[in-house]
Amino acid sequence: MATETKTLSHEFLKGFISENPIIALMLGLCPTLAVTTAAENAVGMCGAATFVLLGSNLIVALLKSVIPPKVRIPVFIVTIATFVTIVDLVMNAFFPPIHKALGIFIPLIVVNCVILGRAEAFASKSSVANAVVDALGMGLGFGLILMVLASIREVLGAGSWFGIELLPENAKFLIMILPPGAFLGLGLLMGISNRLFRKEA
Amino acid sequence: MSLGDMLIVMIGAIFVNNFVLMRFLGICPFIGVSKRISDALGMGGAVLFVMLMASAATWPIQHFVLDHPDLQIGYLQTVVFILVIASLVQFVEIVLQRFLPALYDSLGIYLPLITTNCAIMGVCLLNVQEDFGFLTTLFHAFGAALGFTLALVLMAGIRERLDTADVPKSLEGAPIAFIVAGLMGIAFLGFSGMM
Amino acid sequence: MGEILKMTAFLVAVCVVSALALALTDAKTAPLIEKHKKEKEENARKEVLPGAERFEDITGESAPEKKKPSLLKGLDGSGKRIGYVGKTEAKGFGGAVEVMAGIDPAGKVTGVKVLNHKETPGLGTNAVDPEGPVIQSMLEAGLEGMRLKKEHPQGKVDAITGVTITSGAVTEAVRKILEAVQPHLEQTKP
Repeated sequence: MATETKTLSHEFLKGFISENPIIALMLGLCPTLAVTTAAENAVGMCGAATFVLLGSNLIVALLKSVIPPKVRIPVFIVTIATFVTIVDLVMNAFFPPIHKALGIFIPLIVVNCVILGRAEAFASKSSVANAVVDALGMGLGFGLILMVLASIREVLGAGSWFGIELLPENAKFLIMILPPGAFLGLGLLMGISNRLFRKEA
Repeated sequence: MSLGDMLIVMIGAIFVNNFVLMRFLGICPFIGVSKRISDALGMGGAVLFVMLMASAATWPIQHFVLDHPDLQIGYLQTVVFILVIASLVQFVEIVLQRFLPALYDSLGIYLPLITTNCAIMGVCLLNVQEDFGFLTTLFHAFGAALGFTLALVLMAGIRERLDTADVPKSLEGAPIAFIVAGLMGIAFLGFSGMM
Repeated sequence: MGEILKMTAFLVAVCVVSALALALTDAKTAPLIEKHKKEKEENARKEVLPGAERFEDITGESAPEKKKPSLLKGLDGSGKRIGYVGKTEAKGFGGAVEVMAGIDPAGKVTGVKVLNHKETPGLGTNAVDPEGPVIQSMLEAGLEGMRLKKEHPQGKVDAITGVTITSGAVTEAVRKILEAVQPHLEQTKP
């Protein structure tokens, strides 16, 4: 099969730039806008989403020959929802402040198109190794953009980074941590990324 | 809750807590399906339909099953809700195709996209979080869907004009749409004092 | 027919495995979650009523309605009454503002803590800050003084310019708590 000739490192790295879930595939936009008010929250979401991606891709790849094709979507959904609930409970028990900050966006990971998308488009047709590596790459690529956007928004909007005060009171650009700032920030980020990485057709 | 309170919840969901511009729910269709006003209206109609049914279905499940003191199964909320929504959408699609083919033709392509629309799951979760009664839940869902449609239609109107504007190449498509959304969001912030 | 049966059986099996996995996770995490919740509440109570070591619920016979404050009597190590702690909510800019306040036996505020809010970051958050002007001006005030200065002649509470709604919400909540405490204060007058 043609896909087997791609190396594991390719499957891992593609999630960062060429097939970055947010910038290239335009998936998972809701949490990108919602949780990037602080760098700490971005890390939390990245961790949660990557955990779910890993679990889901792993199970789907392991069971791909056993799942009856007609019920595969419901099976994927139950699998993903299970991992999301696990992450929700574990975060609430062990990391309450981040759990509170991420709010409903933790259960909303279940409708994050990245996860269902990878299960359907990739994990159900790949080896377990490829699926795991894909999950890691996609999850971390997702997290990369979250971190960049969150850092920009937190520094400009709250004058801090990971809670460490950096800018004086007057230098804060409050709009950045309010909802419109999320849209503006992401739009500019995508524009810059287009400039840097896309080749002109 | 009085009727007045319920109307406030509904109007709040349209303007003050607009699902797209303030709560960031339903962004994927917002960017993907807002290039023409007719598409936006179609998607809005489908979302209204599904949001109302999903809210009506998940409310009793939450209050009579998940919250039941003897069962202690609150943690199954995510799994149960998403299964209900996915089944509902599937069911609606089949019923429409069979009995209302005209409606199916106009709404049809949007329906499968709706399962992963976080706005649907979002409104069901918020109904529970805000502890709304059954009727208030329906008002809330109605408002949420109207707000979603409003945001989409506004965006579509702007994007139809943007097609002929001189946008820098790097910003074409999604980036400029986000920037426009940000500006719309700033305008909507003005509604905050309304309540 | 056989195919449908096979599909359904598989789906049911997946659901059962899922439910089991979740039940297990819940069993392991629920006690921790409950513990955190209780600790947070207990710490907040001690913060607003310094000196108190344990609390007795005196909210009343009937189940507390959503609008009525929940009320606790604070006692020190030897069982002496230190004061009261009340918790309630008032309508703010972005939703309900949940406030906890400590009241001494003379009916004066000993501490205020905003537990939950959805007010505007940067602006509204100043009004809910315990070190901020709004809450600081509430300390030592009693029922008559629990109004915004700019709205009532007897008011003692400072509002922050541009954040009147949030400032008002916190004031309203503490006021409700003070009102709920009044009957208990009279009880023990010599």
